[in-house]
Order: sequence, then C-alpha cells, then structure tokens
Amino acid sequence: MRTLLHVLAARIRDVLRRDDLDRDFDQELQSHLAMAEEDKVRRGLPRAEAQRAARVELGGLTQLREAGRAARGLPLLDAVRQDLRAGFRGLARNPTFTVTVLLTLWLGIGATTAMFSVVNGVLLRPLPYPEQDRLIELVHEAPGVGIDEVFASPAAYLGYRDHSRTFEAVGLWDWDRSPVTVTGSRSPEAVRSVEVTHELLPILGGDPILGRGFDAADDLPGSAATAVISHGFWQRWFDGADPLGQALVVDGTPREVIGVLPRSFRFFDYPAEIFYPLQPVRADARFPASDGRGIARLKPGVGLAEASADVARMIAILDEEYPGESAAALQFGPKLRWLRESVVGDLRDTLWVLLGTVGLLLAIACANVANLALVRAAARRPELAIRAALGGGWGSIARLAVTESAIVALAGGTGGLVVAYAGLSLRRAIGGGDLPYIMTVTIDPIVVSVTAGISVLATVLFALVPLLHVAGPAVPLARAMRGGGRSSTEGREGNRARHSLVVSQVALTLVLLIGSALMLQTFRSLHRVDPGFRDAGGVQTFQLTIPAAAVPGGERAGGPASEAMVRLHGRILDRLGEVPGVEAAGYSSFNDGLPLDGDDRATAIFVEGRPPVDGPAALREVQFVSPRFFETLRTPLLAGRAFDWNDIRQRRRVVMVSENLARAEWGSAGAALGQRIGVEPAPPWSEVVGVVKDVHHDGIDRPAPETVVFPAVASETASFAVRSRRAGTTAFVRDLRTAVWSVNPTLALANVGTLDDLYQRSLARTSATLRLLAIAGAMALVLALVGIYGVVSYAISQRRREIGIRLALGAGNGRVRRMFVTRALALVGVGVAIGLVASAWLARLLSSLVHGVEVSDPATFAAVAVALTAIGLAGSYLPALRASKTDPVETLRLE
Amino acid sequence: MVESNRSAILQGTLDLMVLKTLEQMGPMHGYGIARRIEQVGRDALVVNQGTVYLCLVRLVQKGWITARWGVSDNNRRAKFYSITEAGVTQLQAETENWERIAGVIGRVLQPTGRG
Repeated sequence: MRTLLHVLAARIRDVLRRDDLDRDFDQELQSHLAMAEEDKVRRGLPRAEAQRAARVELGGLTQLREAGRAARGLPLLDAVRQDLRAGFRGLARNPTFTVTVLLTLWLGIGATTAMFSVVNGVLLRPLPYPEQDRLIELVHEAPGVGIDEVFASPAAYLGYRDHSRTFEAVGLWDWDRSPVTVTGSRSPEAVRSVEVTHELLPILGGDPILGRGFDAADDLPGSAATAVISHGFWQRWFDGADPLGQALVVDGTPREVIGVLPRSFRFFDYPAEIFYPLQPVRADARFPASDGRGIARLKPGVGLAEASADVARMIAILDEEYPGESAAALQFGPKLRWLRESVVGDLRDTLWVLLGTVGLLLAIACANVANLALVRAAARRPELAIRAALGGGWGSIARLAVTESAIVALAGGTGGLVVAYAGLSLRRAIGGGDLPYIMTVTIDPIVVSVTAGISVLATVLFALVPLLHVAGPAVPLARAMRGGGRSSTEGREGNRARHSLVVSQVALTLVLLIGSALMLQTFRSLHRVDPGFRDAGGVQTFQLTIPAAAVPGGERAGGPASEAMVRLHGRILDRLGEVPGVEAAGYSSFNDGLPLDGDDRATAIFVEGRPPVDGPAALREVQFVSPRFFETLRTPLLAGRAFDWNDIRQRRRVVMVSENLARAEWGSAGAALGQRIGVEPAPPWSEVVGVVKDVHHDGIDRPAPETVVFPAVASETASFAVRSRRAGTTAFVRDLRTAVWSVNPTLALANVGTLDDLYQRSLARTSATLRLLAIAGAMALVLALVGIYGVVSYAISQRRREIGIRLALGAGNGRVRRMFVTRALALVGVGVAIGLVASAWLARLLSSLVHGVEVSDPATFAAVAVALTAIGLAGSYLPALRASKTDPVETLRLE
Repeated sequence: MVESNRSAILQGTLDLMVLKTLEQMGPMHGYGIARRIEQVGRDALVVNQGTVYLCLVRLVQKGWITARWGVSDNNRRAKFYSITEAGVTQLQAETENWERIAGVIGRVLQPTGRG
C-alpha cells in the first residue's frame, strides 16, 4: 500500500515536471550511448560502427522516450484531460445554456459569499479578544423603576472585585463620547479617550508593545497622571519616536505616556486613542448607580446563570456596604450578557434576515440551474442513449456529465468569489455604517471553504439531475430516441421535476418580494415621520471641548468658571454667526444634545402642586440649549417663547417642554405655559415658558421622548449646530474652524458632520435592508421569469407537432395560447399559495425591522401575489403567443 | 495500463536483477548495470538495454532506488543509481519469493522417476 502511494505521489510529481524529466531521461540515454560507443571503440571497433552498434543495443530512441514517459505518466490524468476537453466542447456548443447557468451561479454564490462573510465576521466571531467565550458585560436591570438596562458603577466594580466568586477579573471603563483636546508641541487635536481601571485592557488582551500597562497603583486616586496610547496615535503624534516618559497635555492635564498598545488592538467600536486610569473613589461610590460600564472575565467553566446568581448575591452585600437607594426597592438585579451579544446587539436580527435572503436567492438560483440542466438533459437524451447503445459504459457517460458540471461549478464558484470581492464594496451599502468597525469583515479561509462547499454541492446537484434523468431504470433506446426530436410528450417524471422546480421558485420569489414590500413600506413610513427638525442637510454640526482649565478663572464647573465658559461659548456663537452664509447658530450643552446622536440624558421631573406618585418617577429626556438652537434646527415653537441670553446669563429658572410632555401633563401645549416643574419634588421650581415640537431624539423608528429643555449651562463639551446653505462643504468647515480659532486657537472641532448624516444613519439599517431585499427580490423575479419562460418554451418545443395538428384542424390561436398559459398559471398559482403560507410564517422574523406596517399586512400580501401572478402570466404568454403563430404546414413538414 | 502476463514476469525478473546488482556493486549508472547483467548472464541472457532504463524509472518511482547525477570513471556525466533501505527489504522478500517459486517450478519440472 505504501509503495502504491509512493508510486502515485512520484507519478503526480513527475507529471507536474514532465518537460524536465523528458530532458533528464534523454540526457541519461545520450550518456549511455556515449559510454557504450567508447567501450566498443576501445575494443577495436571503428567509431562509426561503434556508434551504430550502441544505438542498436539500446533500442529505438523515440520509442524509448515514449515508453519512459508512459512509465512516469498518469494515465488517469490523460483521461480526465479528454473528459475536460469534451466537457468544454459540450458547454461551448450551448453558449446560451452555459452563460445563463454561469450568470445564475455567479450571482447566487457571490451574494451568498459576501453575505456570509459579513455574518461570519459579525455574528460568529465578533470580537478580536482572547477567550471571548468567557467575557461578559456587567449589565443590571431595575424593573422597579422601569429601567431595563443599568450598567456598572464604581461601587459595582469595587464590590464585585471584592466579593466575586465567579469572576477571574473585573474591569470598569467610562467614556465621554466627546473627544479630549490634546495640546503640546503640535496643533491641538481632538482625540477620543477612555478611562479604564487597570484590569480592563488586560481583559481585552491589550498588552502594550512598548512600555507597561496600568497597574493597581495607577488606579489610586492622587497617583501620578499617566496614559497609555494607541499605536495609531503614537505614530501620528510622536512620529513613531520613543513616547515613553513623554508628556501629553490632555484637556489641560499633563500626563506621562507609559505604554503603547498593539496596532491590532480595538476598543470595541470606539476609536479611542488615549487611555487613562479611571481611579474610582471608594468613599464617593454609591450603590446602585449607573456610571461607567463594566466587563468581567469569568473563571473557566462558569456559565452566565452561575455568574448571575453570584452577582445577585453580591448586590445584597453591596446594598449594605454603599450608600444610595435600596436595591430591593428598585428591584435591582443582574442582567448579565456575553460581551459579544453586547457588541452585536440588535444587528443580529437584521443579519440573519439578510443571510436568509441571500440563501433564498441561492436556492432560487440553484432551482433555475437544475431546471436548465433538466431541459438540457432531456435534449441530450437521444445522444446519450446512442452512446449507451453503442457500448459507451454508463460510467463514462456519467463521468462526462460530472466533468461538465464540475467545469460549470468551478467557474461558478470562482466567479462567485470575484463577485463577492466586488460585492464587499457593496457591503457598505448592505451593512452600511451600521457595522461596528471592530468587526473585520473579510473573505477569509472559512468563507472561501464555505463557498467551495456551495460550489461542490451545486456540482453534485447539477450533475445528479441529468444523471438521474438519463440513467433512470434502463431507458430504452427507442423511447429515448423518440422522446428527442419527435412529437410525443417527454417523460412524465421529467415534467414533474420541472414543474416542482417552477413552483418552488415562484414560492421563494414571493417570500422575497413580500419581504421587500414590507421593508419598502417601512421605509416610506419612516420617511413620513416628522423628525422634529427640517432641512437637516443645511445644518452643520460639530463638538467643541474646552477644558475647564483653559477658561480664564480656572476651576471646574460650578465656580466662576461656569460663567466664563458660558461667555466663551457665546463669543464662539457670535463668531460663527459672522461666517459668510450662516443663517443661524446655536449649541446645546454636553456631547449628547443633538437629535439622533445615539446618546441620551434623562432625569425624573416633578410638577409643582402635584404630589409625587408612589415609587420612583418616570424619566424624561433633558436638554440644555442656547438661544436660537431650535431655530437653527427649524424645530417649530408651538407656544410661548424660546430662550434668550438673559435666561442663560442670569440663570433664570425657565424651561421649555416638548409637545408630548405638555399634553401628557397638562392636556395641551398652551396649558403648559406658566406651569412650574423641577428635578426634585420641591422648590426651586422652573417655569415653562415655551413648548416645542417633538423631536425624535432616539431614532426615527422610535417614539419621540418627552423632553424638558433647560437653558444652556457651562459644560466642557458642547454640541454646535450651524444653519447655512454651505453646510457640508469643506470650505465652510474651514471657515467655521477659523472662526472658532479666532476665539481660542487651542480648540479642535470634533465629530464634524451634518444633521442629515445623523438622520441618514438613523435610517441606515432600514434602507440597507430594503436595498438588499429589493435587489434580491428583483433578481429572484428575473430568475423566476426565466424559469417560467423556459418551462413553457420547452413544453411548446416538445409539443410543436401537436400544436401544428391542432392548428391545422382548426383550433383557434387563442385556444392554443390558453392551453399553455393556463397550465403555467396553475403552476404559478400553486407556487403563490405555498409562498403566501411560507411568508406568513417567515415575516415574523422581520418584525424587529418593520415600522408602521404589520408583518402580516393582508394588503401587501395580496398585492405581491397579484403582481407575481401577472408576471407569471407574462412569462408564459410570450412563448405561447409565438407558438400560436406557428405555421402548421411548416411544422408538420419538419416531422 | 494492463500489461500482459508475460512482460510482467520479465519485468519482475529484471527488477530483481537490477536491485541485486545495485546491492552487490553499490551505486552504478545505467550502462554499468546493463553491462553487469549481461556479463553475469554470460551473454546467455540477452537484455534489451532500453528496458533497463524503463526498469530504473519504475524502481525510482517505487522508492526502492534513488538516482543522482554524477561523473563516471572516464569523466563522463552519468546518472548513478543506488539502492534504498526499502529496496533492500524488497530485494530480500523478492529473493525468498523467487527461491520458493524456483524450488516449486524445479520440483514440478523434475523428471518423475521415483513415484
């Protein structure tokens, strides 16, 4: 056995270097001749004689070369080569068939591969962290106050670190989405930063490539200010020079760089570049609280349930140890989840729907290919039967069929990969900016092997169909021959196979079309939603972070610096207003004041004179805005007035509320004016002076939150909005930056964009899903049309003689047409019926994506069913029309 | 691919002779092997020299011998063959086999006188 393998390996090797070995063998024979000749000359033969004798003794050189090649060769390979040649010839003879099949496979395999690569990257291996199966995010819930997600806090971090039995490590991090400003030798730059406890980076596998990571000492309040920087920031800021020990001035605080993270390190999907110690203060910690986010690495073998029980146990302990509300009253409890779930979030549903969509498309494509193969097999039946009758073994016929389909499948698979590569740029359209960037979506070996698998499967299917059909139980030659060119209808089983393929195609297409229709209605419904602002493309947005230390008067918020900060913001607004083309400008305090920015800020609100209801109060969205902020967004003022600078400078106790809040509390917008509310159920109260239209702050597809708007306050970060026709142009942003620098040249504009960007991002997932479903639906429709057309055309070609006779006997054109159209419609009808049932069941999967329409909307179902039937009608009418125009004399003469 | 029985037997015999030669004489080139077999056969055995080379190709493929280009006694480039461990094992097995068959054939062909 070993020898056999040895021989095979040697032969394969030899075949691969055939030319080399031919030359080698030749040289050996030449060397032999030379030696033999010399021997003979030495023994006294004349040279010419010796030469001749040597040749004779060796034997004919040419034959020897051939024999040598045969001994080394791989006879099977030659047979394969012959089959391949025959296969290519066969395919080349039927270009229409080949091209149709290839295009179908390319689209099907390409779309599936591209989509699978996304699912693979996002759902199956989402995190670039070691042992991601043991990483959890510390999430809690507090159903007692109607909050379904409470993140971690310093108290939770310290407490879990002290008492946990199931955690190997716990880490806390906190971000301020607003960037910090780094100053120093270079022009100021807005950089994203994260505060972490010392365990956090090691949990995520972020081991510095230079210097050291944080240790427990760095986490102690009052220790020297340090920072770990990202690889990218190191390269950019320090030009790759040794950064260790260098100082970075971060928001006015000098920090010593102690380490550089690897290039590959990603902090979730947040492009953080500077990390510094969180330094939680035990004495200040309250529990329960939500301040920062926590992750933990579970001890090996610990499950989520076990960890949750552990956390529940610790919550009771922490409730005693730390001041704060009673955890029991809030029904505060664990709601731990795997870190990858946290990252993938509700993208999961969308992706499965998308993958399902392309899967359906592939199924339709395969049905089409199988259908075409069937038709072709039937057409080749006489040829194959003759081959069999002439003694061609079924084996060799089968080999031919398999070779042919292997060529097609390989070409289909390769082309599909190419399409997928190209399609990954389309992926931006599919997944859009919606994909967390942490997930690298690439065509990796796994994806390639899946594609290869699909290709092989396609080959098998594609080869089996004609084989089963042709090699069926002893097809008698005579019948096969007759079935070919002549009038008798071809095998019933063939018809049944083709018909069921058409039915399934129609059903699958209907499912896709209904999905597209539902998404289309969602899209339109979302576009009809009034977001609460108008002409979003004309609003330039950006954030500015002004370190308190940079404001004359020093100190952090609360002191005299607050006024200085407000004045500074006011001066910046004045300058922005002077930029050519600016119609209005405003800002909102903090980094989360813009609609749809993905962030929110909520607090309980109490109404004067209304006794607080039992239990914790419901939360309302809060916002802090400058004068003209709503004017800039074109959010209509429904009653009362907007803020002016006096409200802000004099810290007047005035508020504006959203229309829905006014209605909920006082019945109407007008009734809200003059009412007094507060964040505590006690004075000081603030008077409602204005009511604005509802703004969909959390997402176009989510209801607008009830909002309370306070006058702007001093905050290091503020979100600016500038209305101008020039919004979105580089020149405009440059002018704005110059205006800001004229006030303070150390400031950096961050998160520059337009309000429309935020609006589009909010719709991105819906429009991406819609686009994909629409593309898939359109492709499916085309394929189904081709399928129906093909089947009807084939049936007609098989029954040409019958048609001729009917026409000759006086059947009207219409009657012949009806005959075929009716049959095709029956198939379409069955397909539509099955498709409707399947859709009713499958559409539930879309429920998380659909907005403003029921997933089982009967009108949608009916409309799509009718449309598809109409298309089936068209697909069958065309060939039938041609058939009925047949000249009966012509047809009968052909027979 | 199917070879006639006759050539298979001849082939096997030639394989055996080539292996034995290489085992006894050490590395040799094709011409040397052919000459050696002719000499040992004392010209009673006529070997087609070409088939020796085909035999060598086969044996290399089976891994029983290896080939390397070298320089002959009279300073000529030639391909030298030497027997491998697998080849020695094979030679032993084949030799025993041959002796057994030769014995059987010998007994079968013995003039029957004694029975």
